[in-house]
Amino acid sequence: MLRSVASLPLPGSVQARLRNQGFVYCEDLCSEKGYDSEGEKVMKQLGIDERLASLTYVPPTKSALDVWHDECLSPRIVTFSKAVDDMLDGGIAVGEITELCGAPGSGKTQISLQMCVDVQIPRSFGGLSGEALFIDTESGFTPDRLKEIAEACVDHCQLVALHQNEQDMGQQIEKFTVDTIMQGLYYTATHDYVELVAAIYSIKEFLQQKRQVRLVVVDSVAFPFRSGILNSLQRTRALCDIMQELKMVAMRYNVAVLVTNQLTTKVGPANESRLVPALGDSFGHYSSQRLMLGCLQRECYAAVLFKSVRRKQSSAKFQKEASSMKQADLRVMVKRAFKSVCTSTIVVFPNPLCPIPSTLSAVKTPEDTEEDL
Amino acid sequence: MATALQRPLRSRISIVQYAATRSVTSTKPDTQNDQCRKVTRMARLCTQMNPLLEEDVLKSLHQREICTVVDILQESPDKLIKITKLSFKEILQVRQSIIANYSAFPIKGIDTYNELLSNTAIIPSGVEGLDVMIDGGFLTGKIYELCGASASGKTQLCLSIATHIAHDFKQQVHYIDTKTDFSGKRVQEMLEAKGYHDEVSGAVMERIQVTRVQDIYELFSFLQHLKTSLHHEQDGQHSIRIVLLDSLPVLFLPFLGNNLNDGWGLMNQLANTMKYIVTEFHVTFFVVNLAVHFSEEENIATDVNKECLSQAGNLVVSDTVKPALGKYWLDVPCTRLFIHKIDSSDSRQITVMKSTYLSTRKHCKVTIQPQGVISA
Repeated sequence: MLRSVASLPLPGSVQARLRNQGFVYCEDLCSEKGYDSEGEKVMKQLGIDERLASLTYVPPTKSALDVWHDECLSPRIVTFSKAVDDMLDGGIAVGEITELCGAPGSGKTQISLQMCVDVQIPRSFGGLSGEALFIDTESGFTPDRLKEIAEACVDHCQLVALHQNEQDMGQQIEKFTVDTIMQGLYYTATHDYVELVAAIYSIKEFLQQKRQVRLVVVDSVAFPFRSGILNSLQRTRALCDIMQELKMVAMRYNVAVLVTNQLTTKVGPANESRLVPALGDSFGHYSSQRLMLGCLQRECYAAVLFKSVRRKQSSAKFQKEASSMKQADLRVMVKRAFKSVCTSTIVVFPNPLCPIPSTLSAVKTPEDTEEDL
Repeated sequence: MATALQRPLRSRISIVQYAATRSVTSTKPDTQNDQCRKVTRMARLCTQMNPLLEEDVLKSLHQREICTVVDILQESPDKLIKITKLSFKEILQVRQSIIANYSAFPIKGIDTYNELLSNTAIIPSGVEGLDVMIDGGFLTGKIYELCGASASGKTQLCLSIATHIAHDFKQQVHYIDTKTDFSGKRVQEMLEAKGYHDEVSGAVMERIQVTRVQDIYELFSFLQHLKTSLHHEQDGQHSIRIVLLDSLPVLFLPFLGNNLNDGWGLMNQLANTMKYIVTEFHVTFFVVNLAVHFSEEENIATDVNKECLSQAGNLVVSDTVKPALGKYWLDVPCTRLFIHKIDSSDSRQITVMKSTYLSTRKHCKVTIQPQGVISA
């Protein structure tokens, strides 16, 4: 059995021309012995002669042992909540998509901001010394809050450095300040799904310039798609494209991708209703890990691992406990009911007069934007 | 030997039996067929096909848009004489030789049966309840499908099967991973939970070959590559007997909407390639499909498989869930298994949703444990 030309990633017009000239199979174009002289001529005409190798690229095969080895070496971004870290096998995985879903006020954005800070923890502290890219669709990003989290994180690291008294740590802690954390976060805001799709397609280019970035956050991927502009078929399609691109970015550039999702009400056959993650089943199929967040009562939050290949479904509570003050300090997000705090100090952000860049080259750090305001 | 095809196997097929079916090297009766394979089979006319098809003859044929084998067979001899300036006899000779080269040869029924017997194997999944349900295991030469909602344990079952075959039969397993879901850590955990030594586990994991494909085109390239490498194998060697593909819908979702026809065309080609590989090299394809709730995904290109669902009458959730990929794909797998959550978070039920040889009412209960998917 031969490979049909139609199974090559070529545009329809090129395929039609090949068919008209009698090239039905790839083997017509080039056999094992080498290129067919006529085939070569046609490919040159169509401008695909040099690309044929990449068109028929065979992905490499690895043994499970190698995959395991790579997995063990791949770093994790800690969440600083021991229960959640344990549940996620040590934190958010680099090279994968992790999905956070939850009702309003369940702490999705808070965890996202926390991760943006955590990814920047210096290497000697067990961090990644990375940077983060934050794509905001809900205008839920608050620099004040980020600053608070950053302060807590720096305080914590200083405390660790004081106790450990290692030279590496001492040197790196000096460079690890709230300012550098704020510098190390790239922020982009999108206002509708078109901008979001454009922003996601430009991540690749952005990451080529900023090699330090190890975390990409999309908060939230659901919001722009729930306006009802797209019908469900178009929506599924657009979401698949987004997730495919994010998956590719995560793998190729070895970054962690964190997307947040909202909840929707589903009515069952017996008219009972329950809350399920929004955006449908096809979307859920893409994320390799799905974490559901919920607020149990004041100051007590819970995370449930909904889907994971590695870990069984489990749940964890994270809350402020007197015995683990250090952790709680850092995990400022659980100190208070944040939604109320945030709304009172919310900054109109970003400047509505400045057009949102469709490429990320013009992305500003939060501080720059504050000056604009 | 006949036991290999006897369906009502109550117990799990023994390893010995499996090994026996495997080790038999069949001396292929159809040497003629083998020779045919060596001829480069191309659709485009070329000088190697027949000495009468010389360069200038081909040139004049191409000018009249007769480029492929099908074109020349469809054209009337009168016209061909005019175009090529060959005699009637020569034209017939060319046609004869092309037909002889390109048509399939009839083989005696008994020969195909014997070949099937000596080459078919039953591959146990390693999950006891599932094996009983599917009469001992997966038959080679067939395509199986597993569908289920998100987080229902599809990947877990795939990993279990891969681990089981790589360990119990010391065979290579191909695992095609389309959404980077394959987890080496999970496989290692399964092996550890089963109590194997590190060296054994290492060897098992060495035998599981993982290929990560990004899109449907890469999958085609990989399958062609797999086909070529299986071609070079000696008869009866059967180094690979199962290929797992997790998961399929991800590859076709980008074609939703305006490109739906392209997607169907590619789906057809994929089915074709898979069927060729399973029958020609006696392997099993185990593909994973997604089940979606149709209240939410009403406009998605899938059709409600109402008939198939009503047959599986004991499904509680079936009326709200349907497999993706639509009706066309329904034809491709010989058996479609449906996995869904019941009661607690660890137990699952697997049901036969469609099958050419199993009763569709059959079902079994399994649980997901550290050592993999096991019978409940």
